[in-house]
Amino acid sequence: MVDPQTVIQALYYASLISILSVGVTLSYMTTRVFNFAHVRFAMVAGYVTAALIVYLIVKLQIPFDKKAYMAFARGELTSFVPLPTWIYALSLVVAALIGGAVAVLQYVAILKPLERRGAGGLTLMISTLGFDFILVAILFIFATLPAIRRLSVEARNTMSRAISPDFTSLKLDTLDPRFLVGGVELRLSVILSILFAVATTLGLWLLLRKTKLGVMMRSSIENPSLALVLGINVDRVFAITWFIAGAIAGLAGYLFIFAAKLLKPMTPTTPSDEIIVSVFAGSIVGGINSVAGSIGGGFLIGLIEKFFVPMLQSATGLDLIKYDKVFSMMAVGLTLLFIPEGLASLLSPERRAKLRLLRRGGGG
Amino acid sequence: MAGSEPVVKLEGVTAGYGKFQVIFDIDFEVKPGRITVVLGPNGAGKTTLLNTIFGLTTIFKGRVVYEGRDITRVPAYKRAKLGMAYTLQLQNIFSSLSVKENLLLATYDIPESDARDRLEEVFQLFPRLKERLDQKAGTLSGGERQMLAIAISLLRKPKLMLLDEPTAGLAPKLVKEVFRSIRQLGDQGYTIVLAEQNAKGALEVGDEAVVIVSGRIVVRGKAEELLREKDIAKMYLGLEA
Repeated sequence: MVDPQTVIQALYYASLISILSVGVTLSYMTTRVFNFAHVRFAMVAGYVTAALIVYLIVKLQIPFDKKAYMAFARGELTSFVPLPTWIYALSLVVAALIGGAVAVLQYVAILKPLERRGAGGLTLMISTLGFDFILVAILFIFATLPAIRRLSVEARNTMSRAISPDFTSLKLDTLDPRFLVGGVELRLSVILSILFAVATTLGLWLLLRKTKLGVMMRSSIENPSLALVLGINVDRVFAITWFIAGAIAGLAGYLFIFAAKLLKPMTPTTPSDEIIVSVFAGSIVGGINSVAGSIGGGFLIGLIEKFFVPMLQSATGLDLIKYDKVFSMMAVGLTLLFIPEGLASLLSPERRAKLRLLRRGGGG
Repeated sequence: MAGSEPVVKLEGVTAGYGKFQVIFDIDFEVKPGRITVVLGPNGAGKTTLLNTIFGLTTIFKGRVVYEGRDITRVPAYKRAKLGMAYTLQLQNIFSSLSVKENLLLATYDIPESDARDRLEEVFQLFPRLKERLDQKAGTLSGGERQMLAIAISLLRKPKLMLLDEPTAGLAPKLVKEVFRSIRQLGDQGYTIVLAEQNAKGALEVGDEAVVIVSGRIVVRGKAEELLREKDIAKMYLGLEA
């Protein structure tokens, strides 16, 4: 029997990769460049939002309710929500806005000017790495500001053990609301991760298929010069697309807040640096030119790393979890070899028509 | 149309892409309600001339005047709102979108009731498009694509219509059909700039004409005169009299 927590963690992680992959795909479709800074949007959004939460804790003098927490742990309570609900809602919005703003900044201040000067794909890609470093540096500086340090000391005084004393290794996982459902402990961040994945899928589908902005986005992506000629401000449409990609990354960043190990700006390589590998893998496996594909691809990669590999490890007794990224890369390799257009191409009408022909022996 | 004030006027324009200059010292004007034909060999700068009118090039020298107003620095998407329409030579439709979505895009900034009236007018000119509304534009035939491309421009009720080689790659019968629709539009009072390789066909429907060679205008005159003058026809246009 599979441990329910393994399933829950796999779903959580798969949803996280999925919503990050869709952002990479959206920005790739507009600028034709893989954005190495994409996961950092999530980290910046998560970190700054975390600081806001700590500020609110200090400002409102919210103590950590140890009694309620213990009661929940003993199973006497079905839920434990450490902070007022509005703080969770507010910080969610803030995280999305910050993610979107950072993404627009990268598009408007770096990629667009470079493109205008005739920069090629490689230059643009390197510039995204550069922007990633800049964001890391900014986080370093932010985390070590005296005001931020004071804030963390004060927060420790109100919340005691809930928050790590040092803001540079921020730990807010104790502030993640918990619910007991059928004897299984579910965290808000886990529930939200799955909700985010579903909402992103539905939201983007509605946006792209049913709204004027969506048609403008699709047309600008397919043929920027024709869109321009029709009076569409393609630069603005692309900036909006980047905002959406960044805002979705901001949602992922909101989930980072409650996963302590994802939010450590002071270590040279953090788990969130490694995530970018899986996110790119999800984007490619799903089909780099397909929004729907990237959601599926990201989810699949997440399941491979956090479900398939652990299963394989327990079945074979080999130490495989350490090498979970290898399996993602294998998935990328196989995809590029056999279905270079990614999973999405299996579902496209052209492909289906071709398959029908092949089956009838009519040839491609 | 009131007076014969040119709709658009290029004054000593040198333009190109990035650092490359493609057309040089161009003086060019388009009179209202007329079809102005731009001829010339491949790579002479016909498309660049149209691109320059629409603001898709880098302008090194000179100015572009539209309805008496200097628009040299106005971005392309704003020119579309000023009443210019441009049918590009290649990729002039959105192939991954349906025919309907293509037409909707052309009218996205127009009130819905106006858009519906205009659609009806366009369907009268190209009834075949009406049967193909839900089809993906990429699946249309060559002729239907051109019709859709011109329909997209027409829906914008342009004061100035730029057409870049609308007959390229079409079967001879369709070429005639396309030229006939362009003449019809001219007769309805549309102001058109038509860049063409097919000199004979274009001069037959055109009113004014210029010939571009290596980025410079070398001949200008009435279309019928150019068609008659054997030397010009032979030297620049490859036409045997």
